[in-house]
Amino acid sequence: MTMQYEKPKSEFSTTYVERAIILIQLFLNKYIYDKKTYILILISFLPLLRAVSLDNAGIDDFVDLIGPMSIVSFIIMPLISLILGVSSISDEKENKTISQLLARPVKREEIVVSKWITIMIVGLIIIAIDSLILFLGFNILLPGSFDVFRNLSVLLGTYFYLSLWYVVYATIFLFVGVFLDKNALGLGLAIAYFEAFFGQFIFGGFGGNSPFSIANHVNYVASEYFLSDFMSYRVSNFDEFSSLLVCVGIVIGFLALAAVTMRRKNFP
Amino acid sequence: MINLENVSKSFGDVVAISNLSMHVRAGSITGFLGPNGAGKSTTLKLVIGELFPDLGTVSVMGENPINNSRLKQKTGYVSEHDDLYPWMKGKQFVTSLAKLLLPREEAERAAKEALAKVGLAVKGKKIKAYSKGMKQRLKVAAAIVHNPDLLILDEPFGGLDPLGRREMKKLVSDLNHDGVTVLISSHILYELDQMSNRMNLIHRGQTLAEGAPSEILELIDQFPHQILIHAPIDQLQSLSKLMIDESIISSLNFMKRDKTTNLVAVTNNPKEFYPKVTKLVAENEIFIEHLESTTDNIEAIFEYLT
Repeated sequence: MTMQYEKPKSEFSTTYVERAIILIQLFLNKYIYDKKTYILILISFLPLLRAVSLDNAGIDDFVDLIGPMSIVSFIIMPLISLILGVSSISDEKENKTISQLLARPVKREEIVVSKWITIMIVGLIIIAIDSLILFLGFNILLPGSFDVFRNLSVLLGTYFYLSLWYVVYATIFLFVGVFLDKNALGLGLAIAYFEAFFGQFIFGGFGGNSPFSIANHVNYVASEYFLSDFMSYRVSNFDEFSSLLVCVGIVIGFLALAAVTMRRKNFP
Repeated sequence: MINLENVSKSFGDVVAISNLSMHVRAGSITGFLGPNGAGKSTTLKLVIGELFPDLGTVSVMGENPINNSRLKQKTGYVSEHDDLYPWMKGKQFVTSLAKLLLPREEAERAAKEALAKVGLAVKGKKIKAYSKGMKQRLKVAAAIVHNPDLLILDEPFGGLDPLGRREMKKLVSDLNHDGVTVLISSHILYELDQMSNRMNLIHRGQTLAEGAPSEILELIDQFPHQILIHAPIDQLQSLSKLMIDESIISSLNFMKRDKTTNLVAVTNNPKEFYPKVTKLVAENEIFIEHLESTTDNIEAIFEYLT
């Protein structure tokens, strides 16, 4: 039996955007069936255990719970970014499904960019749910701590703050996942905690918050743009716009690095 | 169609392919035969552009296959791995991949036809519930959905039952008849010798021989074949004498196992051996219970050839 349709000619009959949409749909499907997605939602309940011990809690205590050097910014955000970022490409490599993608008429860079968009969609949805769980959970556990409706701007600020964390870190970890064939998760974990620990605490010990910590720039941007009434944070020799540019630069830089690495990679 | 010139590829200290040259003619079914670990999959991955060669050049239809999306429109690849998304349904999987190249309606029609072509008509079942054979067919459907000019199959018979193997061979022949060039790898000789019109033998990362299957089989036929014959002892004695007289064997051994005796004959010319033994047995009314070749082991043949 011969197929009825005509053979494709030398040029694509789909555009970059159309192919990206198909790839993103394909990748998004995975997260619906992946248990990791639901675990990343469930872990947002953990910081609430800390909230139970608070007396006379208010909205400031909620911001402390998610703010700089809290369990949320120090543990949960790196973890979400790490798992979604690293596994996006390394899962395809481990399951050998990367072969299916590489055999298709798509550029390797298209695969990386589509993966990045996918993990951004998934991560930002998870963070929206996590922010809501934290915000409402805090209020339910500590009734009367703050008025939910009057503090919706804090909920929004929390979402933007955690999203910025995620976008910056997940892009770095996407690169780690492309670059490394083995132990990508382990190295990603080491980077996350080295960066957060040394950047925030040790380098930070020399004259204010160190500009060498990505976390410090994220906190500074959040304190100026998202949660300015509740957070006060500075980075030595940087203004808030420069810190924002650092964050944007890291995202663009690591995404480009991931694409270039993918282009030159062997897939044995 | 495919040209590999003096290609080498190593992974750390392990040399997978060393100075390998190989050519696949347009319109052929080329059997790529070699024992496990010979470098077949590495070679195919170089052809499909998943690996960069350390040395040498790889060209497919005159182009470099690495990150060449235009070339991928004309090629289909079935890997040896279970590289499917288990949470998807078969048709959804094939359609999604087809949509990367074809408009939506056309992709759906092409997916339906490709699935019909491989004989897979499972509705509503997720891939994780598929048997190995069904997964193999699905992989082939995904590889042919865009109607490629070149189809590369890495061990496509793995996990298929005899009927499945026969159908797969027919499918490959049909595709070739429609103008598709096929490069197909296997470590089992009899899977390839009937269907291929070209063969390439690879061992320890190097091409041993390349040519028509008849030439390759002739080369393999020069390998000493060992034949085990089971019969009553007096019959074996008579047959031994006749085989020595006819000079169709190079050595003979009597093997006693439990209460039975077997005769192990070695011949350098199996083509001549089998018809002559049949004739001798018939003419001299010798009773044989059982006769079998014990040298089907491809690795032994390759060891001999190198």
